[in-house]
Amino acid sequence: MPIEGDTDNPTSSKQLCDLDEYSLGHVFMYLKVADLDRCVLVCRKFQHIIQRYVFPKKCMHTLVAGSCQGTALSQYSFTGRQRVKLDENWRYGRYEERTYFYHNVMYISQLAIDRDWLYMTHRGRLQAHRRTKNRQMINTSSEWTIGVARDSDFTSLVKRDGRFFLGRMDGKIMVYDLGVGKPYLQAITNDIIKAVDFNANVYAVTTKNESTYILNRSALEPDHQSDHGDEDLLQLTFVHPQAYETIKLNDTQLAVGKFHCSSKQALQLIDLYSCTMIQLNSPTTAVYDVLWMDEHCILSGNFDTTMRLVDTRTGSDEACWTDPYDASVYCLCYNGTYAVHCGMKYHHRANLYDIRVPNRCVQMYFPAKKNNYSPVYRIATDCSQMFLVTDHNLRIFNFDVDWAAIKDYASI
Amino acid sequence: MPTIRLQSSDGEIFDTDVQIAKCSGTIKTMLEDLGMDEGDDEVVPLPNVNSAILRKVLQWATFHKDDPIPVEDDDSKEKRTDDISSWDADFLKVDQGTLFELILAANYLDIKGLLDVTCKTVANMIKGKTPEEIRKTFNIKNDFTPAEEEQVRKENEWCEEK
Repeated sequence: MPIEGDTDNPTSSKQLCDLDEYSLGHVFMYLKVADLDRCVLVCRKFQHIIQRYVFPKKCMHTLVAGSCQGTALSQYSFTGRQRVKLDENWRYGRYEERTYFYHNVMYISQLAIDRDWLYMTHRGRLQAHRRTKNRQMINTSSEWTIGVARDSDFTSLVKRDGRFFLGRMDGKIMVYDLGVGKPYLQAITNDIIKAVDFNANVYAVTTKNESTYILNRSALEPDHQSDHGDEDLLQLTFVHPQAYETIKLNDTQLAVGKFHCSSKQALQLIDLYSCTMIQLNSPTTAVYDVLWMDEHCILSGNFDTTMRLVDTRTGSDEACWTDPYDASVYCLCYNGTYAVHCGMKYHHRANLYDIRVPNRCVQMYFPAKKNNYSPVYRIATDCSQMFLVTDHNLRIFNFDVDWAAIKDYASI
Repeated sequence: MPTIRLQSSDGEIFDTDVQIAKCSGTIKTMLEDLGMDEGDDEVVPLPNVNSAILRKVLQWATFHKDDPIPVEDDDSKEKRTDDISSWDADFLKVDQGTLFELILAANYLDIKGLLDVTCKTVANMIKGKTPEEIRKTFNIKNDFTPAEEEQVRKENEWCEEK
């Protein structure tokens, strides 16, 4: 209750435009782009403050649209205002959706994107599709392909700079350098390869049942176009007698997640110098995807419906996000700043999490036209588009749309 | 209960509980940096705030004295404007001029909670209005030439479905 009555309310003849730029800026920070667009038209002072102060400030804190990585992967260069608007579209679920490459038989395609290309596997074939600036977003006829569909299925794909590293069902790996003609194939194991990763020096491969292999590129760098005889491109340096579902390298360690561990110790590290296993204290029975958020921190997608942030210095969970709909996390994509996109186990669904805000789901995206309950197996994003691989097709979401209906599932 | 004496721009003295006065970052810094001791009879002059507004500010600060200290600038949070408490909403049923005076005072005195809630209130008055309605509501003169206005409009056009 007010201490004093409301009888002595003062009056004043101050006008809104008498406020200083800082105060007006503070007011405008509470408005969304639609309102700001109208305010810009009110007078020069408003226009100046909004364009010079409000949009740049809002941009600094955008969840999805402000990341360097997301921008580098995008074909478009967005203005500050457009980025703030894009971010609202991600947050409130305004997007347009396309479905491509429908196939009746169920298989999981592997996926990678860069600024100009979408790379996707179809069973034993790797295809490159040009990304386009029209509403189709990609050219559905491929520009080039490697391998043929009847080859053993690709089960994993990593692309860094101009190099592709893939693992196949038949235990072979493939290395392909863009523009260097033939791909290089090498048999690693008889087991099914589950996941691969590589950096400048180290290549890592893990299989379904047996082991994890650490390989080094041989010093000779054999030119795999000429027939160099029997010498393998990759030299086996270490075999860790444990199979994992997912593996990711940083410079000195391999983050690994087990498909099942009844003692809830599914997340581990393998130190590359000592070749020893380090147990992390992230109590999870199964890890389906893992990635390095930075030098020290890991994000994991888990069977128990959580996405966890684990700091390898403390060895423990620092934050946790639980799916409101009780589905496991199948795959992850981190945009380099604040946003993590998760592919979920059911309904082709993707969740958006903000690493600044533990526990809360920012938005869920439920693709339309579901005729099954497919998981999202692979996910890739830039600052305005999201790519999802499901049982039977590829779905692309475009968030750079003003006309689309809002599908907001954030507060249900 | 220790008190200090605040003096408004028009010379009125307000004997104020130190804890309440310290919700103003400006006063808090002044007391700490200038080493003003509690119980001193010295007067803290606030030349930018008149007595009517200072009375309102202190009324707000008294009600909110037990609020948790607001996080510096939590910009990761979505900026909501629909979370104004009913007490604050009632408190801010004032004429526009007073509302703006309160924003200026909150700014000068560095009271984040009051600045936020007053700015939210103004933002709510702007939401959903056309530029002309905004000008009418706040008595703002359109200082664009028609050509400039057209230019700005074009820059910010929202696309229609093609």
